[in-house]
Amino acid sequence: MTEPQTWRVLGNADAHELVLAVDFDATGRAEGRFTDLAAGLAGLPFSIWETVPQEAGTGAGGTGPVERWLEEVAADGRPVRAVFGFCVGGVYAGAIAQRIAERQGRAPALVLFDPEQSGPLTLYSQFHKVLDSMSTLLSDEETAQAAAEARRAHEQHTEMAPLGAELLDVYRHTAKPVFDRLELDEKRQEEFTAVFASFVSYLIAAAEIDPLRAWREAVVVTSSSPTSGLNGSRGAGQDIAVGRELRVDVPHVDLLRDPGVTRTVAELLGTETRG
Amino acid sequence: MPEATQPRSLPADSKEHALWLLDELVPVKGVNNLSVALQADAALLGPAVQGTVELLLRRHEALRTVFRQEEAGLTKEVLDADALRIEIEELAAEPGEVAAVVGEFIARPFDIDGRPLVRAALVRCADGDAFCLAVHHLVFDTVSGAVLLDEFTAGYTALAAGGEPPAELLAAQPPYREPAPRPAAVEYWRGQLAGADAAGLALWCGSEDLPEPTLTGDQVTADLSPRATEVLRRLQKELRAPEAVVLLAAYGLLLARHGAGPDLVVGTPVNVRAREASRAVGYHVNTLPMRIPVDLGGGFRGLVRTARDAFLGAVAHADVPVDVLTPELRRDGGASWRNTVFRHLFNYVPDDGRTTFPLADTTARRLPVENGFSKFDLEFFFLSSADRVSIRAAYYTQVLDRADVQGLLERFESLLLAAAAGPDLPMGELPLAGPSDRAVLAASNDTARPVEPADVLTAVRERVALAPSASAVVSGGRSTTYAELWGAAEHTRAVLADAGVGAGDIVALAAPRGPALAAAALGVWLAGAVYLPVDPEHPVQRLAYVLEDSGARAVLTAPGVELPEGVRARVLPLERVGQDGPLPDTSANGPDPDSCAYLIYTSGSTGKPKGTLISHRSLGNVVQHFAEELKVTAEDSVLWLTTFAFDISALELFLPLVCGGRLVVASDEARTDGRALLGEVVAHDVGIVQATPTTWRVVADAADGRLAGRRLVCGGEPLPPALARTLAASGGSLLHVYGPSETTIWSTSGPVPADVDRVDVGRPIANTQVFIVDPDGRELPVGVQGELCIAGAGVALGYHNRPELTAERFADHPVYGRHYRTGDLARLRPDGTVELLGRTDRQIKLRGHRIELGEVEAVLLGHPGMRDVAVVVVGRGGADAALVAFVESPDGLDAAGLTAHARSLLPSAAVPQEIVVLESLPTTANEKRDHLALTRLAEQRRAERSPAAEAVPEAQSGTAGQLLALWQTTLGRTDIGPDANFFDSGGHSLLGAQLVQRIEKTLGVPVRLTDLFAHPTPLAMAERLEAGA
Repeated sequence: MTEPQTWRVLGNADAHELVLAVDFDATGRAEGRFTDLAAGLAGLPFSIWETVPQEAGTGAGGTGPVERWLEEVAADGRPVRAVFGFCVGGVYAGAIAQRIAERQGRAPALVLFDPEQSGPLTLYSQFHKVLDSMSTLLSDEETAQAAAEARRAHEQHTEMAPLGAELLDVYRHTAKPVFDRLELDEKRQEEFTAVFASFVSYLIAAAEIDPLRAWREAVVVTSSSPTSGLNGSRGAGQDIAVGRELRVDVPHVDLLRDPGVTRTVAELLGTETRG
Repeated sequence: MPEATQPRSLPADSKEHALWLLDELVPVKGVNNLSVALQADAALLGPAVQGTVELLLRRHEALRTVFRQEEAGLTKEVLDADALRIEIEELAAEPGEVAAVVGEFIARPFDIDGRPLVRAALVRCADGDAFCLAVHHLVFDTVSGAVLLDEFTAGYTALAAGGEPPAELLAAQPPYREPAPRPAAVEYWRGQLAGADAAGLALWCGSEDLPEPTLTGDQVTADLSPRATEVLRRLQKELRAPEAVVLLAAYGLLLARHGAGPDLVVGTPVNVRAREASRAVGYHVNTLPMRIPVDLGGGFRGLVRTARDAFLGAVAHADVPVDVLTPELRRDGGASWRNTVFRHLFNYVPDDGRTTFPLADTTARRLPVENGFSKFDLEFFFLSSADRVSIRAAYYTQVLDRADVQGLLERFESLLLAAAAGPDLPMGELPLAGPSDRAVLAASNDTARPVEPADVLTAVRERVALAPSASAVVSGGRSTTYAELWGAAEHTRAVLADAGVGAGDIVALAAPRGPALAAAALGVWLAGAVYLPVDPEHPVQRLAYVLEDSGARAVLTAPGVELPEGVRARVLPLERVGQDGPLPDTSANGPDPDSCAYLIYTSGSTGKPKGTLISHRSLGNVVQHFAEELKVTAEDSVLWLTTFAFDISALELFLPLVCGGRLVVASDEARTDGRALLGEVVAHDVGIVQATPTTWRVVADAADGRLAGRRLVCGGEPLPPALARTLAASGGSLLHVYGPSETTIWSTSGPVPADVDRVDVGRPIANTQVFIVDPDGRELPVGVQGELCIAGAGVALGYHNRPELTAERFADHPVYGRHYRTGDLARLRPDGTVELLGRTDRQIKLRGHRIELGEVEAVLLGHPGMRDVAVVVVGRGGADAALVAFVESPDGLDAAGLTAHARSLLPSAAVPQEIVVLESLPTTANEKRDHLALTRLAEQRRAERSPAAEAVPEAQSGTAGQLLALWQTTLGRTDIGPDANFFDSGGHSLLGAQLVQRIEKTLGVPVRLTDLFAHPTPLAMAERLEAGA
């Protein structure tokens, strides 16, 4: 068996069933990761695969990344027990679960952690998070300048692609002095920018998928953070129908590494078999 | 939708876009919802209401304007009057509930997707029906509200009477199109705002905003008193300024006295309609930043002039929305979207004073209903009529709470009255406190009580005479009676007299806790001398320094105690206890209460201990206070746990002795071993135990019901809420105490309830006053944080031989008299308790952010598994300053989880760059957390990883070894091994890029950043590289 390229195997490589997890695991982020959850599930007989962030520009359209991920799952041939999604990853997870259900004739369990839809505002606020993470390396003026440019970009574009392109542009020239301060060479600068670019394409492609039908079948784990996942949608006056919602008293950042949530997920994998 | 409407869609302007964006970013929707609402005193006629609303929609195209997001951006379009019908919603309300029902109606979010931004409701209520129009700010503002209210009244009145609507309402009101900002006006604002810094606008009250603002709002309303209104009207003439300007200046002064500025920027909404369009409905307001520097050394008259220039300048250049300039301005809040150049809003609207108005054949009144949001930290909205000025103070509940705002309103009036009485007095000298502040302070500081006898020695002497054979001290299974104790004290007096020790001389006591030491302390006083407790276990340099600096005449030592070489004081052996002496003469005079009882050394901020001189009266006061508060009787036992070199030990020693109770000497083991301590407490049935949180932490974990029914005293360093709850739930009663050595052991105390959330330190003890001052020494009111000062019976005589330091820290106050400036940040709560917020010297500024290290510690401590945390700053003042957190985490540290937890609650600048696990945090000689030592440790770690020290660390063979070296260099830590995950060890992706670059250069193999994401440990990366090769 060759090692998958678009997935990272998080454990139990040789188990008989797969659990797929969709997330943009941007490292250094505050939120818990599927790696944490997988560590807690290591005793279960599933091989957990997590999506590898795709390079920006590979493929086009919302199904692009989904197709590439599915190809390798199909090539592997093992049945898929469940599909997980974190945040915007929930959008892809829904699409993947639907396709796998068609293929294997049995719907995998769809478990979403604070699922969120993607849109221009997601892009815009994620840009702010990235900017905030650099703020200790930027001067006040540089930060303010970047924030203003991002705002203008958001003001001008409602389409994801041009907004993403422009935010990427702002990112590039804002990050430049930081790169120089850290004495990063060209290659590193490009690579680093590519990570953000990849994240931008991840959000853009997600915005093209309507996940709501798939989510109606999902088990959703909702954190205690008022602005995350379904809490956030409800705050915005949007009531999203899901199969079952489990509200846990754990903040969004800890959702994937909370032992209680891990136990709940383990139980779900044991009992949640549909189809 | 008819296709003909499509071409009429226009792009939204920048102002509209900003408003829409705010709507989108606030997690709970409705931030821009506004309203016109009225309640009649009878029923309203549905058809007439419906007819009037239709009339208004037809007349004002703004109310028919819709917005939607399209490819080209946010666009707007005016719907045809015929195409639009707004159904009036019929709602019902119980009497008295109308405002709540209307409030919910207004709060309901609008969808900005081409649907109308207005809706109407008719609320049926037995008290009289209400009508409400909820409108989005995109098409509406305050002026629009007044226009619509007038027009609704006229239209409804006509239709309800069965008549035709008034002719003027049948005509369309021409919409107002705002002209583009004039270049000269843009230039004006550019000049006005050059160099303004919003980071300086935070108040000293309230809390920090969340990383993701919610803008939840609330409001408090108040009227200016008739006197203040009269004064305002007089000032307006005297200072030749419009009323709005006088109010603006007073508002600026209020903010400045609460810590904003002095380079103040206050926002004000200004109506930008041209005169001919004064009745146009729409969003025609610009919120302008008025820059008003406040010089608290100058007078109010000058501030009014400044405010007038700013106000008139703003109005004259009102055509520039502030968004045009934001990129050029330094703003607050880092990269958060809630960036503004101001945090406080001023709003002034003249009012005709009418509270009711006729509506058809009924009477109606306007319903002031808010939408539950506040875009700014604080807004003072003044509604001024001929005989009344009312203030509606709206505030952002994350930043301020109701009590803060009520206080601000009261103080606004106080300042206005004071400014009127002395318009040329320095504004910093005007009294700030409002009546509630004064009442809280007076009640809290009303502590005068007689202390009889005034000194401890006399009180103990009375107990000896009363019950000579009672057990006074229990130590190591042996009991010492009061008579034996006194006998040894008398011997000590004789020995000291023989050695030439006289009144006022200093005698060091270097002995372990026990009956002999207790007797020696009393004996020193009998000799008229001053005792100096030193701990034989302290480092020898410290002992040598203390003995030298104090000028001690003699040292009383126990067998086995080694003193430093070259001690100049006469070394004498401690008297042994065991023999009764003659009964004391209770008629003998006690010491002069104002003479010195003891000299105590504490760590100074420079690292050199400093001695504080405490009088007999001060000690007598605190001991008697706690004898009463803890209800100590002759039946009680008190544990002597704390080293005598820490002043709180004296309370443990004397508390039982002045009450005729028993002093139980704890073993040394009990000081660090919770189980041992609990064992001794149970064995001797000790009722009262005092310890620092550091000690309580180890006891609480092992308590298991054994603290039930006991009186627990905790103080000496910040008490974490979790520990407070554990202790309070232990079944014992917990008393939280606070005080610096300079005001004698403890100055405040208060019980801690079992469900405590924010721990306070209680109220001042007997004969003690507390007050809070700003950095210039001005007294601050309730809820406002500043430096805590303590006055009263506990205030020390001063520092020993340090007149400059004494003059610096001890001062006189016109009201409170001689007092000590503690260096502790605190605020008074509305209930009169004192809340400590850290040290003044622990509030730092890092890259423009004000950071309270204590707050960072509190956040980290809130993460599961943290036993103790200390945060220090390294490279203070430099560009590369950084925060380092030292943590105790007995069950192993989840560094990534802790960092994530911190990041979710703190601004990035306040998240520690490095987390270091220590088995136990170092403590000072007095068992307090030693921040100085930690700072040195952090600096040392940093120096070790400076370029010069960047040699390859510990040998580890092969690729993994080389990689480990690079991991360590890049992360700047040597405490990580080959299994360390880069991103969980303080690395972020930018540093990751640096690491990858270094790997490539050192090993000569190509590595990508994504490789590091997938293989974040040296071992995993080594495997990857070796497999690739």
